[in-house]
Amino acid sequence: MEKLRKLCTYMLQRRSHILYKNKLLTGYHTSSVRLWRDKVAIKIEEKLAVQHQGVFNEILAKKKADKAAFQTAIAYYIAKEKLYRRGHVEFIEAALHQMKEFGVERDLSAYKALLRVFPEGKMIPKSVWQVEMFHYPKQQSCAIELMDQMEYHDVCPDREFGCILESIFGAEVHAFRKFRRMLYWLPKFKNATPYPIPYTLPIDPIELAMLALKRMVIDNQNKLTVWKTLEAEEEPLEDTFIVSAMSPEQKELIEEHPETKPLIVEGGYKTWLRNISQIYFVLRADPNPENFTKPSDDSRYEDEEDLFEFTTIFEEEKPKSVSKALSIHEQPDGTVLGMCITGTSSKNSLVTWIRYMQQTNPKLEKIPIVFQMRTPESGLQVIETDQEKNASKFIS
Amino acid sequence: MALIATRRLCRFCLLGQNNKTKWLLNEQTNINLGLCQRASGYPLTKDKQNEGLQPPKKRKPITKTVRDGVRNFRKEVKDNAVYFGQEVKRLVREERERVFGDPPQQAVHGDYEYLFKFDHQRAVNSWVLSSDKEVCQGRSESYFNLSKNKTGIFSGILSGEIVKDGLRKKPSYCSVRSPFRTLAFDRIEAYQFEPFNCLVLRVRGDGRHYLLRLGVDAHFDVYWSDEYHYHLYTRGGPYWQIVKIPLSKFYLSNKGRIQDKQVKLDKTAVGYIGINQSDGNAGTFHLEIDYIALLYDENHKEEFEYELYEANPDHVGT
Repeated sequence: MEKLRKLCTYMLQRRSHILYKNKLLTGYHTSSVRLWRDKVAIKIEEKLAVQHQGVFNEILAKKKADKAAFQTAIAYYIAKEKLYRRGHVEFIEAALHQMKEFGVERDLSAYKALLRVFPEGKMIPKSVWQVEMFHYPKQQSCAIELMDQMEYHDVCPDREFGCILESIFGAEVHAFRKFRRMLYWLPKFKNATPYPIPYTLPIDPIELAMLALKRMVIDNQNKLTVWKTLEAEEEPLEDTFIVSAMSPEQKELIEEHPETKPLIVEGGYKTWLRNISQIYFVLRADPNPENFTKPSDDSRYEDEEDLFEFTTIFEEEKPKSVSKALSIHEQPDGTVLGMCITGTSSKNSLVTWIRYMQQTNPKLEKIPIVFQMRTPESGLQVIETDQEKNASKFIS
Repeated sequence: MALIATRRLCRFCLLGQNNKTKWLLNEQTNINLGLCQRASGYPLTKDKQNEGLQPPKKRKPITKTVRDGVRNFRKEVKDNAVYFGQEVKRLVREERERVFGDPPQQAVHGDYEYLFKFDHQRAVNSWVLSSDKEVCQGRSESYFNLSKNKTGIFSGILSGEIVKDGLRKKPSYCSVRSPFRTLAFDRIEAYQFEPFNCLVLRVRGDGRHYLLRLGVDAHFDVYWSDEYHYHLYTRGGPYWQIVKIPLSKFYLSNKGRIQDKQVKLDKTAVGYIGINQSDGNAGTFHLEIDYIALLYDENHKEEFEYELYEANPDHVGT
């Protein structure tokens, strides 16, 4: 028995000596032996990662990228690795990267299906020491990454998710604590926004425009009108839609506006709905500075004569003019008289918008209108990606 | 923090062109040109050929630096004497206020105090910008300028690129931070939020949500990365919005991570206020700020929004 043991140690030393000579080991110490083993392990991991990514890319190429395709990819893996689930961490990581392409990054059922890839029951710690020493660290880190991605995309886990997680890791581990943390914090901020929008945004650009404008207006009487140029006119300048927001108060303000002063259509401003940006234009008038001058505190004591000019109850009350209350649309930097979002965000669409508005606001035909559009934000915005950068390097 | 504390005192250190002095010189020029300060100290170039930050210039030979130092000596002495005089006056004024001033009174419902009002260039210039590009870790740019309406505009471009360094999985950030409150001779002090209990901002955003940060003025290094966060949701559109956030809603985070063990905000020890944009959507952002103020709302009686009990005493740190 002892001879066998001696032979084994001799063989190990021989192997480590060979590896030391070939510079794969830095020394004979056991930690450096582990280093070599890690290097081999890393190579295997990379190979598996490439293999799993390849599977997803294949499915993307063949099938339509959607929820069902994602689920089939996972089912394919589980069917293949029935017994051992080899490389499940690499598979999950590859899947997490690809979720956006499949369009399931905000889908809780996709995350649950992905979580079920972990083998059940095997990784539950059996002692307090195992719990604190991050039992199965690679798998736990992977689970935490999965939950981090959920948190980032505003997906709140539910009780079923917790049950699955508990059956895999138990309820004491760090991954489960992350789940508990999410279950505490995410609901607190879920409805914190005073300007909520639906969880899944519509795809139709007209509906998106209506949602954006609804959020931007501040009075209840505001009315949205949708025009499609092809339906509204026989020969339109452009084929586009126009969504316009106007309230009765704003119509009154236009009626009262003098014909000598122009109205300005300012534009190219951006408004965001979670991750979708749209360009809107504002019809505004220049402000009346008299409405916004604040009386200074010391003005009362400037003229001493005014101190003795006061009325008593025995004198007749002289009627004073009542100043008109400012409407909410009148702001120090301008009076907002209307807003719109068009499909093309071009000058022609704005001209069309004004023309349509003249049907309900006849005063607009007489008032001169100035267009102040900003070109950098009118439509395209180029954000360079890495691929384009590298391409340009080769060209120049 | 130490860098800013020695901002004025190091004016004699023009000899030796290290990073610190570079930062000081740039800060002075930036204030003169009407530009905002940058955390890195370098002006942001829009030159597409020289991407990212400009590299620091080469060290001048020692004879040249000595010669420049001697030439500037008289000017430096004069400037510093003027500065010394101003600071002494300031110190006297502050000490007088501290000794002879009225004792702090209890706030009445509706009492408010403007913390920052962005109606002049100096107010905007004193705020410090930071973004991925400033720290050479990405392509997001941020700007803080004075607008025609005499308001501050925090704008920039957030790039959706995830830097491939193996560590990062989320895209970038842009932020702007208030200066530290200083006493005479640039001694750093904390902002006092007592006796107010709400933070009020008048903003005009673009529909994106921002992060409000209240830095902690802490002595021990473990608390230096502590910040109190809350979200600033904007409506988008041309209408101004007044945001009122009770100070009890701010939650504790360290290095951007929410902490399990929550502690109430210490109103006597707020280091700075910052606004952050990192919602991950690639594109431009635009936030116009009129003022940031404090308000006392008598009806808001909540001390702290979040639970203070330990979730599980067996788990360390939770």
